[in-house]
Amino acid sequence: MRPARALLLLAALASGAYAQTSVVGDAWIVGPVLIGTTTASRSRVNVAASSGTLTPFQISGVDLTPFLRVGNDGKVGLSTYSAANLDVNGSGDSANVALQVHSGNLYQSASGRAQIAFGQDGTTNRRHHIDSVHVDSTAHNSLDVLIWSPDAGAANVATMTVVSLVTISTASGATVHVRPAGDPVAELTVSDGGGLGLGTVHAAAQVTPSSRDWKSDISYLGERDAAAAFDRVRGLRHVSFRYGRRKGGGFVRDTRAPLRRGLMYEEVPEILRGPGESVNATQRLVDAEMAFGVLARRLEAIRKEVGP
Amino acid sequence: MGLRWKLAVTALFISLVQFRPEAGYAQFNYPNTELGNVLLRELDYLQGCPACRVYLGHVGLLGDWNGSDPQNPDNYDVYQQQSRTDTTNWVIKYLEATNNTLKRTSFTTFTTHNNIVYDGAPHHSYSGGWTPDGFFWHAAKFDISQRDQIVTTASSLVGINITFFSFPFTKLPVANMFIDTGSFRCDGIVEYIYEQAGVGSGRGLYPFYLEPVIASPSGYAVDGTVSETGRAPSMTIIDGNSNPVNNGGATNSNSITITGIEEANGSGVAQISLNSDVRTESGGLTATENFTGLADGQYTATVVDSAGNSTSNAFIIATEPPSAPTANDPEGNSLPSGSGTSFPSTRCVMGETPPTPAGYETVELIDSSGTVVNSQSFDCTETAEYGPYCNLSSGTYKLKATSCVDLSSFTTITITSASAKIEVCGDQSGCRSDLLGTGSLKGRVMRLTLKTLYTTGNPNDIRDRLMFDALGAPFYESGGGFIFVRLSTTTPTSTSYSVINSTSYAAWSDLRLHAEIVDSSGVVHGSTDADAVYAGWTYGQSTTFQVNVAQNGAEYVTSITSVTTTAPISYITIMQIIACSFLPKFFRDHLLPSGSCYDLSASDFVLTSTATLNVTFAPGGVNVDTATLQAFRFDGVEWSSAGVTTEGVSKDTTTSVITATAAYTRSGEYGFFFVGVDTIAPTTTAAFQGASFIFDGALFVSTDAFIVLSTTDALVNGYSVPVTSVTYRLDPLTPYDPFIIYTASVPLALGTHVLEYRSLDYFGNIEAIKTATFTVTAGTGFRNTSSQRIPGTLLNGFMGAGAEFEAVSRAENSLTLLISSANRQGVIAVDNIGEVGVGLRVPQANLDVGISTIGLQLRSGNSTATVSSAQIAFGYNGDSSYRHFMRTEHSTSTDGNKMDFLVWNPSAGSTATLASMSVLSLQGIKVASGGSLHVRPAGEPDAEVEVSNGSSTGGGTIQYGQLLTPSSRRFKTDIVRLTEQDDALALSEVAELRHVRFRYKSLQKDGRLADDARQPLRTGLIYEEVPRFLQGSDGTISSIERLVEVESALKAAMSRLERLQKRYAELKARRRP
Repeated sequence: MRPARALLLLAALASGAYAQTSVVGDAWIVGPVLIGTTTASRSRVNVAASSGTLTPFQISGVDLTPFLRVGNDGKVGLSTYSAANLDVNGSGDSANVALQVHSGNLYQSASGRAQIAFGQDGTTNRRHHIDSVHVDSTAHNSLDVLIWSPDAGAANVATMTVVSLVTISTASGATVHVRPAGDPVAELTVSDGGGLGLGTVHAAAQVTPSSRDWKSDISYLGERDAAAAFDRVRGLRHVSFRYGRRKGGGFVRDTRAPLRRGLMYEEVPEILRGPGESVNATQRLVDAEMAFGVLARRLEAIRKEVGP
Repeated sequence: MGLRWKLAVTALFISLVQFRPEAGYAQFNYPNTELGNVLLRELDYLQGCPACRVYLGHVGLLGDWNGSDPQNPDNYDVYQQQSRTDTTNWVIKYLEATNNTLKRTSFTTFTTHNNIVYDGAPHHSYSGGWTPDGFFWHAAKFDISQRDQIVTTASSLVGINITFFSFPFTKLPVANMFIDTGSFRCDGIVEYIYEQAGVGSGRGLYPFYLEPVIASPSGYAVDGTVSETGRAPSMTIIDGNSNPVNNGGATNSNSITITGIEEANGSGVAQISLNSDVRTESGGLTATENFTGLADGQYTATVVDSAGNSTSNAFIIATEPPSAPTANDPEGNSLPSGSGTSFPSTRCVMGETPPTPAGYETVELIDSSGTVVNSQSFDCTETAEYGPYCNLSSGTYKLKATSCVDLSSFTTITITSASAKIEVCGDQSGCRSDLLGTGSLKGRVMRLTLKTLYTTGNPNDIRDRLMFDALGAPFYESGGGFIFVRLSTTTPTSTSYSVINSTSYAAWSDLRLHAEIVDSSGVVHGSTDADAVYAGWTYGQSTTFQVNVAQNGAEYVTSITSVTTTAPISYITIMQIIACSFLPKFFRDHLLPSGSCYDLSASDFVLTSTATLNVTFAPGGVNVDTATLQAFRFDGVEWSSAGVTTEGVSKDTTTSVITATAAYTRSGEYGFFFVGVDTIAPTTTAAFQGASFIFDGALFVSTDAFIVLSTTDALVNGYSVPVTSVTYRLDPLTPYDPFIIYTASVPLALGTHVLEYRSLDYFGNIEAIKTATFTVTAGTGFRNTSSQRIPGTLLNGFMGAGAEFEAVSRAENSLTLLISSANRQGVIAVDNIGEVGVGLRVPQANLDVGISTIGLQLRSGNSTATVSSAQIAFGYNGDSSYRHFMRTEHSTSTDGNKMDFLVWNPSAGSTATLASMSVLSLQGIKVASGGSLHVRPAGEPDAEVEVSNGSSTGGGTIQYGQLLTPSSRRFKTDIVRLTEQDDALALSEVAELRHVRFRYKSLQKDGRLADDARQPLRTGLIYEEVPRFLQGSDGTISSIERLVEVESALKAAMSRLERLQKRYAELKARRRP
């Protein structure tokens, strides 16, 4: 317990004193202190700003650096004259931490604390917020961003997580999980809030890194590989289906889900399987391309035999 | 018996030979559990030997007999005992019933273990050696399973017939042997004649064993008789009390009956004599003579048969009890002896009984309650030396001597208690200083000094930190962070110390506590080490050392004085009296005036002195009771209360002489000690040297003040050990911060401080931690309890910077501003380097926000109108240039809520301008699952991930290594297998696809899409022209569905190709290609 030492120059020693008063030494005042005003308030210390004084309140360093400055515009600067409501000074490349918040959540706890909440237009309405989740294990440390939506209620903070930057125990160790649902297994997982990886990506193009510069152990696939791909494609058993809706630890039928076509993980060749019981679309495309090549060559063979 | 014989499976060999002319033996096969009953029925040989018992026990594999007491001592009862290692070994053994000493033995061991019969031989002996009246068959070994052999040795046998049989009975006899008288030779070689049915006969010699080789017998039977030709008759001697009298024995009866016994084929008893009294008999197989009125003395009984063979037994008749034993001390001092003798308890008792013809069997020491305190046995020796009996309690005892004919005598002795009186005298008048030098006790006061504590692996690493002070306190805080607490204070020979780590030093290894016993002059009287394996210490962890020393003087403080006793003065030997210079000074100071402590050593020490030593006691006096002043005895190694009892302590109200009385039982060095006199911890008081005042309940002291600590230790029983150290710690951050030894007044810095302090004494009494909180101020200070209204400026510090309220940091202040809650928790704190904490009082960042439901809340969110406010801006290196920022948009509808991340780039126009390029927008959307991650946002997204390029919604590019789709059956419902018709439809649809080349349009600021020649040319499909299955939401085409369509079409094409090839082959075969 160490109360701040005080060395006061008091402008007034008694209630209502207006003459300039100096006290060399410490001062202890049990009652409230009103500064710049004689109007009592319920504050222990009330500093009333005046237009004639730029700084109603300032805590200074020994060199008079304004550690905590309140301007007469109401803006607060920390070690700086404020250019914002709260302006925090700092320095780059010096391991300086400008803002530190301590309200992180423990993984799987239901405390639901927000580290930073973003209110609307000077109010606490429709607050988006950023949460953090912490745990000793490799997985499940996350920084989550929640965007307010009407189902949260105007006065409440957001409930819909749009993206989670989360550590995982697979892949490269971390992922961007959009509309998270379940534990992701890839660097970017697009869910829909209900099922892992069931979200949609909207993009004009999808590219894969392909330059020889980025690759090694390159070997060209031959006729045998092509024939195997031909056989694999020939053996694919396509189905139509709907994705189920997550409920508890499993999935239930969701009649609102669109009807899709595709393959069953359990029925595809091993080469087409991916982590998390997925099918690798990239490998399917490669198989299809090679099968087309075989098909084309066989057609050409018949064409030659039959003649033009 | 015959039935049992036939049913026998395992080998059982029983043979009993009694001391009668005819011996027989037989072998039976019975389960072990029935063996005892079999013996009862079958061993009728014992009928003629009522003094014999049969025991069934076991032998170990080495043949050692387990001679445990029999459980059923009746004749023919069987003692059955489990083997230690093998439950199938058995032994039959019979003893004479008169005592448990093995006299005659005949035993057989049986085993079913491995079908081996060990020993398996009857042998018969007297304790004095083998006798010719039986035979022994020694160390036979029947190994049925191995070699079908009987191994035996024989060294003495007279005239037996032995028949060996084997089992099963159908093969009997396998060998019939007759061994005549001369066949057994002294070298143990058996010479035999055998006849074996169907095999032949002959004569042979077998050294040590017989080996009738037969085919796989399962057992053997041996039977035989002993011829009695040439044997001497035997005899029995029965006294007037009907007790047998053995050869060499004795009786207290003066009547004797002697029976001569001749073997069945003997020549008959011709003569019975007792000493010179010779009586002629008629020559029958038995004859009896009675002899009465015999005087005490040595007798010889002789029986002679008609062939001149004779047997003689000697015995003693003693009808008078022995003389009473005498008692003496072991050193042969001329103390009185005999009944009624009194011995001091310091002496031992021993003696020798007078000679008696029958000899002595026991000498017993019996106390007044009849309890045998000590018993010594003798083998009927003519005299018996007994004792010494030492350390006897006071009382009356009987010394009882019993002869071998059960006649007794006793001597009564008295053990008297030796007592001493100690007079302890203060320095008041009346103390008998004139008696100085005539006697005292030796005060061995030493103290245990803890020297060092170090790791066993490397003594140097922490030795410096842990060196104890010269006084070696039992409780010590080194100032290096280790607290030593003596845990036990009552045991004179052992002390436990607890070592507690009170610093951040960690990862210690094993520790060794080295303790030395030293006196105040530094002379070491011994040392000891105690080890503790304790790695990885952390704050507050402790370990305990047990230090065992011969004497821990810190436990006892002598006030040695003189002694008086009722014992004769002649037994005191005062060796010397010396000043107790080795007493620690603090003891001398507090207990003994200079030069008034003395030693007394005595060789044969009976406390008789009345010498008095002056002792100064602290004011308040000494408790006069046996709990305070107790007697101890020094046995040369340690002081203990064993053998000495403090009987009383009293004080003469006139002379102030304190008299203590002790009872003791042995010689030695005695001392009276104060024990446990100080159990009260010191009391420490903190004071401030300098100006101070109390304002509003708080203590304020001036900057020139010092802390002054003083301590007192309350008297207990008039005594208090000194304080060893006063310690304190200022502003501890943790409970484990070390205490500092107080040596001088402590200067203080400005600010509020917490002082914790305590003291400890040499007995290890630790004062509870006391706490003082105070504020050091400059000057006299301004104090006012009313409200202060300051229309002007309030400046706190040296100079103002123009603020109405300004507090200027000072280097000595850890905080420049602290606004506290009602419960004194920090609400806002500004430290002395400009860090600001909100909700905490020790900020560690420029702005450090403590725990809350919402840590930081920012309210500059935008509506969907102008979107011009920033919520958080990230400036560069202490200024506001190159600012990235976060902004938020809020709306009552789902799709108007966003959180945008903008990163500065030159297109912002100026380094001073906030970023203008939105890289990522997290936003709510009406479609899909309601939320979207929108990269380089342009327009409204319609998927969970929308990758735009800043101008075209979804016009951006995704780069990835693998594209995965959830596929397991677990995730899916409504699964329907696509058919060949579906494949055929896909083939036709793919064939109908109309690929185009195109550019994407760009999104204009007004929301319109406009041609943009800067966009790259692409190839693809037009949403409106593709089959329904390929269409996604909002004008998109599903790449995954396109892949399915291609795969399905490909399969259809393959199928058609195969049919075409088949058809072509058929046509070609018909020559119609």
